[in-house]
Amino acid sequence: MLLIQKVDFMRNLILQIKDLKVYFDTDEGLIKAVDGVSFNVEKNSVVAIVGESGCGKSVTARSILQLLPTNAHIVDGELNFNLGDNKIIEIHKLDRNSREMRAIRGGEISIVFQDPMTFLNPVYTIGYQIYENIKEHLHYKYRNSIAKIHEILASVGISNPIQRSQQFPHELSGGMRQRSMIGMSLSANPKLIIADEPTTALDVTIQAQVLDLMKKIQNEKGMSVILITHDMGVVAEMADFVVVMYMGKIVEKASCQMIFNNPKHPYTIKLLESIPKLGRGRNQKLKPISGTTPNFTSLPTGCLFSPRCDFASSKCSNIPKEIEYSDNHFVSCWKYNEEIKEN
Amino acid sequence: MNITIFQSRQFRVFKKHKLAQFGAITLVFFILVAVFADLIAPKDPNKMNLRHSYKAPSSEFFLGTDRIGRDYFSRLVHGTRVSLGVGLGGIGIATIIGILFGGLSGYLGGRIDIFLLKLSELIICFPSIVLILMIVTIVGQSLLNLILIFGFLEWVGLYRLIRSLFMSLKEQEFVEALEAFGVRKFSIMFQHILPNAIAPITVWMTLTLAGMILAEAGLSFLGMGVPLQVPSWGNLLNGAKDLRVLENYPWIWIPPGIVITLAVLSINFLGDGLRDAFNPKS
Amino acid sequence: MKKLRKTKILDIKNICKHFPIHKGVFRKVVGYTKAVNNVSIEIYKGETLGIVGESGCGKTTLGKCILQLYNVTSGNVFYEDADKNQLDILNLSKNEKFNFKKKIQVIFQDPYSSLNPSVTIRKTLIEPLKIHKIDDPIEKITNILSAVNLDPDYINRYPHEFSGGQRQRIGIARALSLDPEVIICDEPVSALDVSIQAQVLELLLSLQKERDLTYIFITHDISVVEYLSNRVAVMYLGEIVEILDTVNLVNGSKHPYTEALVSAVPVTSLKGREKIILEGDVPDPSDPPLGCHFHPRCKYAMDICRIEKPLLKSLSGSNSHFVSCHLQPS
Repeated sequence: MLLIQKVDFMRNLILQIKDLKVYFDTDEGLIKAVDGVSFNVEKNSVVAIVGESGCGKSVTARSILQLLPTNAHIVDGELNFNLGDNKIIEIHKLDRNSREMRAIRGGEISIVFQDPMTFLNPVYTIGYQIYENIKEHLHYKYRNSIAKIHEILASVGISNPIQRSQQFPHELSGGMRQRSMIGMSLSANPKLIIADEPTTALDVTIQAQVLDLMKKIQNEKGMSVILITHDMGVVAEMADFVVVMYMGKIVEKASCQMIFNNPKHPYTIKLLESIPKLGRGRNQKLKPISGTTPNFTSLPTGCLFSPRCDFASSKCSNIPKEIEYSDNHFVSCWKYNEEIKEN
Repeated sequence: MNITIFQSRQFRVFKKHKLAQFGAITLVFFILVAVFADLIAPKDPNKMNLRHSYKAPSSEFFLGTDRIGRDYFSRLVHGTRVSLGVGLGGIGIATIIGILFGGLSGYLGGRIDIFLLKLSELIICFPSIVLILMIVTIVGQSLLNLILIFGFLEWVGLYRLIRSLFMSLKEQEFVEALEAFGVRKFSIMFQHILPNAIAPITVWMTLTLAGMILAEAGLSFLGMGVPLQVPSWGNLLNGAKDLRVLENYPWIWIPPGIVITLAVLSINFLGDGLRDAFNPKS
Repeated sequence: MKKLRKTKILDIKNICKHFPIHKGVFRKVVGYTKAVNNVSIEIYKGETLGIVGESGCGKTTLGKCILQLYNVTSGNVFYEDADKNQLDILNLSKNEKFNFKKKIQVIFQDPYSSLNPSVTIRKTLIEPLKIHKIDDPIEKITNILSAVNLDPDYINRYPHEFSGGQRQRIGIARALSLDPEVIICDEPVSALDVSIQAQVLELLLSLQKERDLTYIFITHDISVVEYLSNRVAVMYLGEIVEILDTVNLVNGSKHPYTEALVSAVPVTSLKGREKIILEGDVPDPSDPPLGCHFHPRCKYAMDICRIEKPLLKSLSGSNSHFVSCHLQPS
């Protein structure tokens, strides 16, 4: 697509990921961590990427900011980011160490990680680390930053921002550290925030606080969020649109309501059935998914989920094509090709 | 081992490290020389003959003779045995003490840890050369004394390593499981935790061996190491303290110099290679 | 769910575990972190008692005290056998203590550190059998591995050759090897993928039925504890604030913290409920608030809550529901 056409297409989108392929070179061979992933992120919305370990959700998110290890490469695909003012940045064409890429990271698109203890520098104060970000992206001088730092800390619900900005990460609780990191990521007013399992390491009451905060900020600032998680409960509470991944591919994507009320892909269905639901206690039968995820070095041919699928048939030896099951509800499963044909 | 050593990732990394391979081969070569010294150099290294003083290398004396007419080649070859022996003996003692103390300190903690830690700090405080010289002066020079001194002083490095390893490993859940079953502490320490530390121990042993060989060479050069009549690489260098020797009799100081350098370098390369092989990040 | 017969198997009385805080060059003791403070609870044969709470609540420490991996500061644990004889398990002789280890065992959280990476599964599993001098250890191991749905032929493999779920099952096999009566499960599924969690939970349930096991299930995951346990004890800052039957957990809890905890869980079900968002952070266990530990975050806090600590008392009209809150009438 020409750049002109892309601008038009992306009028309501903040990010378009098209057929993304990220492969890793390892001792054991080539690992196709992300193998043909496509989805759109609309303006002012929350998209959740959900899946279990090894499904490629984290790699997908990090490739948006080209934060990949040196043995990982974006082999194919497009990452089109809507900068506004009819400008589209083709991230996949940028060099990972280029000035443009660094300007985007923390500026237009920022990221919040899972464990704030390892992602905050223990030898610098919180205030200084926020300052580094605003210096880089907003070009503030130090004396002007101090007020801004306090403002940022207060906006994420940290009481005593003046005192806290002088403290080191280990002096703060887990919840406060995560809030600080959210504050840092917001400091340059990004259009898109990537949150990689932001609350997994937190206590459940603190998780509720942080999710509440994230929702509030997202609404107030009209930002978009890509939320990576394995917790379907978090997805239900936060997401507008859900992308379900398995072994590097998307198996289903739909609005949050559709995913929970009318899941179509066997993996999505089984995933939802295998989770204990609060409120039902012993009056539910958990149905584990049989088998285990295959090794990346010995993937099955055809549909990657077929060895564990109750509905597997001979068609499944071919890789299923993604079809639009209903309005904005996409599934990659041979079961539905027939239904669509019939209709 | 279920996966044979040759298939493991460690061996693969090691194979790529050319210097380490060179180091390994050279070390094996030295060990063989030490073992078969009598076959390689049948001439008596201690037989004096003042009429053959400072003879240049020839077909009769491959590396010439020293000041009192002893066959230099023979002294060099037999010196390998002594120098390596001091190193290996010292390493052996230091390793045993280091593992034992490190394990007790790291796993048991408490007063034992405080005591052993202070002891190790006491030893580290002194510059090692000064300390060794002092002790040698007091107990006298002999091969055994040197081995014991090295062993009793060098354990500190391994001790600290093992101590911190054990301190972190004891928090692992498999250790708690063993405790929950009632396995005895000593068994937990040395049968279950220790195998996890083989990698850093091996690396430490190789690198410290190099250090000990160098230390012995230095001490013997000063005349404070192995007794002068026993051939060792350092002792051979001791014979080169004279400017006249340096100028006129190069076979006295060049061969031991080369040999010491080669030995120390090769052991260091080997140690580097082992360390990279065991490092999961490389 | 069948009615549980209420035979006591363990009686935990006033367990305290205080860790000294050392400060300064000479490591003077300046205070204590009361990780577990005066915890008492009865455990019945064949039940699953869930212990829930957030970080710093002391649930894992309590488990370790029962297993005697920590020496308690004070308190007793009494074990009652079939003939109603009571054994004071924290004060046994060395020999008796060793023999008693067979009765209470443990399953850990982290499938990666709970197995010794440098030895085979065989050695890991055989060790407890060896030291307790069990006959035919290999046969026993083979049976146990089959019971947890693992192929006994894998016995000579190393932990890294197994997946997380499989390692956890090996950990379960290890816990079962001495035929214990009580198993303390310390977050056994928290580190596993969601779809594997279900496998392991189902396995734990079926093993419990087969072998009449009693589980003490320690977790922070409310949904899991609601699924698995008969009763739940909620802990906050080293103390039990509520004990209740699981059926009452979502809609019948009485302690404000339990209420907030349940409400905070993000769920796909239970639409249209009101979320309680607590203010502030979980306090530092070494410096807890005076009076009721929960009062700074409690929306119902009264004056008395700031001064006097409430006691754990049974709810009127119930012999199985206990709360420690000034809101409840004595």
